This record gives sequence, structure tokens and C-alpha cells, in this order.
Amino acid sequence: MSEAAIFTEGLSKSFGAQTAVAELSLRIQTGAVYGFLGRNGAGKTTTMRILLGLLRPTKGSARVLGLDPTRETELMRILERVAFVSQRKQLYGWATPAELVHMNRPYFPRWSDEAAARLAQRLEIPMKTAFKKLSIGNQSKVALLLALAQEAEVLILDEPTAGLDPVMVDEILRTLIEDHISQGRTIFVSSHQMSEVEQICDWVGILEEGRLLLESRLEEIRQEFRLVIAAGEGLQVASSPDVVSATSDGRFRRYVVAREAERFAAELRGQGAAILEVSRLSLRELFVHLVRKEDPCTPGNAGAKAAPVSSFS
Amino acid sequence: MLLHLNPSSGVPLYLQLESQVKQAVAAGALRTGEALPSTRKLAAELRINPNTVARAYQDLEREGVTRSVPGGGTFVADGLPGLLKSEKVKRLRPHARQLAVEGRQLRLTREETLKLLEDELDKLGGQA
Amino acid sequence: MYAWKCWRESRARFIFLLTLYGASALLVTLLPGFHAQGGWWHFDRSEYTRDPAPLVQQVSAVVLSGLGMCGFLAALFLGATASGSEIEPGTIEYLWTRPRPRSSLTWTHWGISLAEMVIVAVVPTYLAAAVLGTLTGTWNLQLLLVAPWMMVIVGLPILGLTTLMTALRRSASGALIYTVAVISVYVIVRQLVTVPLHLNVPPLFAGPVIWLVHNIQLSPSAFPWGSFWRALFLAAAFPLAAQYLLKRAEV
Repeated sequence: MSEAAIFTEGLSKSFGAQTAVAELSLRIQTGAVYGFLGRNGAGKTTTMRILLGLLRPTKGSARVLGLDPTRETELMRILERVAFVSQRKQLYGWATPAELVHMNRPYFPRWSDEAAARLAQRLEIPMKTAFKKLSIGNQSKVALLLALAQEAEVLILDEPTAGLDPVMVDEILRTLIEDHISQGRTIFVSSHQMSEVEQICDWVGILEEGRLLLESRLEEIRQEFRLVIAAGEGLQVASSPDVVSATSDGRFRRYVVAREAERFAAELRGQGAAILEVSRLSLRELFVHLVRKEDPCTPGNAGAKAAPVSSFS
Repeated sequence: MLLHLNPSSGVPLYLQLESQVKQAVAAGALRTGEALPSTRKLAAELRINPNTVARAYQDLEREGVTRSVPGGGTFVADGLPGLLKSEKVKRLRPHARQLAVEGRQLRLTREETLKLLEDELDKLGGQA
Repeated sequence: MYAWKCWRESRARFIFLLTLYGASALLVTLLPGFHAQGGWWHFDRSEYTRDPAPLVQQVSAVVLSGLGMCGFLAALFLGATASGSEIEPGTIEYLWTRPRPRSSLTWTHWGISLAEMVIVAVVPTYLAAAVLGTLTGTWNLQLLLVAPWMMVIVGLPILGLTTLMTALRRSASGALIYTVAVISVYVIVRQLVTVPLHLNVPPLFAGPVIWLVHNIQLSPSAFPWGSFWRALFLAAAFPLAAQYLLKRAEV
């Protein structure tokens, strides 16, 4: 078993009365590409900022490459080996991308000028225009350039493709795969772009209100998770960690099942239900079913709160 | 090698990849002895994780569809006569299952379901 | 490189202040020699050699008031871009995820600002002194030569105060406003307290500059060592406080 590149244990962070992250225990293996999903405000950015020493945990611990970001000397070693793209991607307005590269390079012995040049070309970044004059998309690309040319062992990316056009997103995915994932580097990425996550991630973690609802290998989600739609009266479903979500509307019942969907469907049939559908789910569908709150206007809603599910592989 | 994967379909990507490689071989788009792209190159081309490609290549080799050479490189294996038929059957099976299940759900009899299929085949005309 | 960033960011302001003070110092130094004649300007060197001492004193006084203003502005503006000022704009997320300790950022910025302040104070003053000395032929210019250094000493606490304010207010504009406010309030309160009570409280740290002014006005006083040491103390204490505040800051 490979060691964890990123590890948190019971990590909690509160801002006054507001809890941003609650008892979060993550384990991201070296070389994994981990998609961190969650609604806005779920706690993804907070978690990443704790890993990089911008925030300190209220409780629990976090380790990056085995080092503790709350201790300054260890944090310095983390920052030498980790590349970060923040959510805001704000850089010095007066500087051109070329100047930003010049400013960034000396911090990182592994910096690759060649990778920087290649990326600047692929992403079509205007290198001589002041940052404040660049469009938001271009600003994001510059932030990505500064991080990716670092050739770091671990990439922590907070919504890296937000606001970028599909061609640019494609280029970034290609670069990540060719130049980083192929080299066995660890990527911890938060994103709302489900299709991109589905393409490159091998692990997925879904965060809601600071808690991890689900953590699983993506292939296992594809292989095991199913949507079951049934029709029937008075159906009883045992509360089980495998039934990740259950909603109802009149005589319709919709379940998201984490494993053994056929057996579940058979049990429902045994209660006299008609099974209308047993189908696979896209990541986006799974995400929405998992985190969507109950609709208070729909009577008899079975409740859409999910129990945390984790994968043992 | 031009393949098309659908990451949102819920079908594991490595399975999609294996299936498409097999179909390509069955259709003659990949010939015996032809080299497959490296894991890294194919992953970059398809914009998917290299582990996915690696797993698919492993499975393909285990099933005898491809073989790898000590110096590196994956090549289409020779002597795959059964591939054609087994791949075709595999492709059609989910459709058959769907027809059977929906027929049952709609309470059609076995004969009615089979008649449906025969009617459609007749409509297509005499294609051997 | 953070040092390069500090320089590049303050470059425009630095050049502005250097040019402003430099040009006006030169102008003031050369002005006495110009007079209109026959519809054109002529430069008459004899103006300088005729009675140098009062001329030197006059020119020095004007040059040093320019030094005072530009020195103060330099100290004020250079400190406002210390690392704390990057918090509100958001670039701190970039800066604090570089492998550099936060304390080194505070002192690197302070060091570059100090260098710029020294250049702005010294170069134009010494240039004016050189021109004045050459024109008058006398080199009794100790006041001019010592003045920039006194200005730097008095400017350092102000630089430190602005630096501290960036850590408190977390933006450059906030730091500037609050520094000016603090200085104004201090001066007003000091006057309100000391004048009615006839207290003779020495200046907190502006002593060396006031001593200079006395010397220009030909009423020399003893050098205010107390003020001098307080200036050096505050010059170090303010940035140290800023360093402490930023060390555990969360963004």
C-alpha cells in the first residue's frame, strides 16, 4: 500500500459558530488523482487552505507528504514540494505573466522553463500584458502556469478549470495527464466540472456541510452504484449504509444503491413493487442525489440525507 | 487509434476501452501484429487517467487479445478467430436482455416477444 | 523573488519621489544664479561667490524642507505595500504558499524600503550640496551632508508604523489612512496636553529633524539622543509587532 501524500484525521475547522469542516478524515495515496466534490461552501476550499498553512485546524490533524503544515519549518518543506492553485487565483495586477514567471521561478529548484514555455503556448497566454488587464480566463491560466511549471510532486488545485472554455479545459487535462499524472504525481483537485473529474480522477470524495458523504474509487462507483426506481405502496426499506439516498413522490420511489442493486430490486419486488428502472449513474447524477436537500413541498419525502459511505479498497 | 469513451455513462472506462479495442480488432481496424499506442500516449489522447489505460491493457493481454514484448510495447496478438463472434454476441446481449425484461414488465408472453423480434428481422429483409 | 517584487512594485513611486525631490533640490540650488536680462535668462555665478554663507543657509533651508516632505512621503508610501497589505486584495494566497517564512517577507520588504528611502533622501541632497559647493567655492555644508541621515532615522519609525498598519488593516490604503490618522491624533493630543500644562515633553522620535531645523535657524541645540534612540527602538519595534501579528494570521 502506497503511503498517503495527503492525510487528515478528524480534521475540523470552525469560524466562530460556523463549522466549515467537521471530522474530516481523508487519505489520498501517492500518485492518486482525487476529485474533491461538494457544493459551494461545503468546505473544500477550507480543507485545502488548511493543508497549505493558510488556516489552522480547530481540531484534528492534517499531513502533507508526512509533514505538518501547522509547524513553520515543516510547512516550508511542504511548500517546496507542493503546487497550489487557489480559488481566487489573484496575482499582482501590475505584473505581466512573464514577470510573474520570473518572480516565481527562484522559489522552486525543480522549475522547468521548458514546461512553462510549452504551457504558455498551449494555453495561449498573452505573456506581455499586465495581469490586471487580462480576462478572468487568462488570469486563471496564468495561475495554472505558475503551478504546473513547478514540476511539484503534489498538486492541490482549487477549481482549476472554472471559467475556462472547453478547448482550454481540454489542453489542461492533456497537460495534467501527460506531464503530471504519467509521472506518478499526486493530484488533489476540487471541481464542479463533473465530466472532467470523471475523465481523469481515480478517486472521488463528496463533501457536504464539512462532512465526507462518500469516498470511493471512481471505477467502483461505476461498477456498483445504481439508481433504482420502483413503484409501489407502503414499501419498507431497511436503513442500511448501502442505500445512499431515498426519495419518494406519490407511488414512485427512487433509491441510489451503493452495491448489490439487483438484490435490492429483488427485495422490493418481493414487497410487491414494480421495478421501473435499474440504471447506472453519471457522477453528476450521483452527486445531486446525494447532496440535494429534501424538497419540503413534496409530501412523504423519505429523506435525502445520506449516511457516509466509504470504499474499502 | 481513434476511440470514443463516454466517462459519464456510468460504464467503467477501462471496460469501454477494452470493448472498443476488441471491436476494432474484430472489424479489422487493428491488424495482427499492429502496435497499440503506449499507455501514456493513449491516456493523453483520450484525456483519461493512465491507470485506466494500464488496466485495460492488462486485461486485454490476459484475455489474449494483445501481447507485450520484453522491450516494451503492446501488439495485437495473432490467431483470434473466436473474437469476432464472441464480441458481436457480447455487444448484442444487453439489448436482448432489455427486450426480455421490458417484455416481461409489460406482461407480454414469450411468444409475443419473440414474434416482435421476428417481425423486425423480416422487415430488414433477407440479410444473411 | 519577493525582493524583486518589492522593488518592481514600488519603482514608480520611488522614481516619482526621487525625481520630484531631485528636480526641486537642483532648481532651488540653481535659482539664485538666474536672473532675467535682455528678455532671456542668464546664469550669474557671482551671485554665489559674493556672499556665500547666507546663500548657503537659505538654499539649505529650502532643500531640507523638500527633504522633509519627500522623506516623510517615502517612509509612508513605501511601508504601505508590506506583506500584510496583500491580504485583502487576495495575492496573499500566492505569497504565503511560496516556501518563504512570513518573517523573512516582512524584513525583506523593510530592507528594500529602507534602501529606497536612503537613496531618495541622500542622492538629491548630496547632488545639491555638490552643486552648491562647486558654485560657492565653500564646502561648509555639514548640515546638508548630515541631513538625509537624520531624515532616514526619523523616517524609519514611520516606515515601521505603516508596516504595522498593513498587518492590522490588511490593505495598503487602510494602512496609509490609519498611519496618517495615528500620527495626526498623536500630534494633536500631544499639543493639547503639553501646551496648557506647560510641559516640555521632548519629541518622541522626530528629535533629530527638529535639531536640524534649529541648526538651520542658527540656534543650535544639543543633539537629542533620547529621541534618537527612541527612533531606533520604534524602527525595530513596529515591524517586529507586524511580524508577530502576521505569524499566526489566518487567511
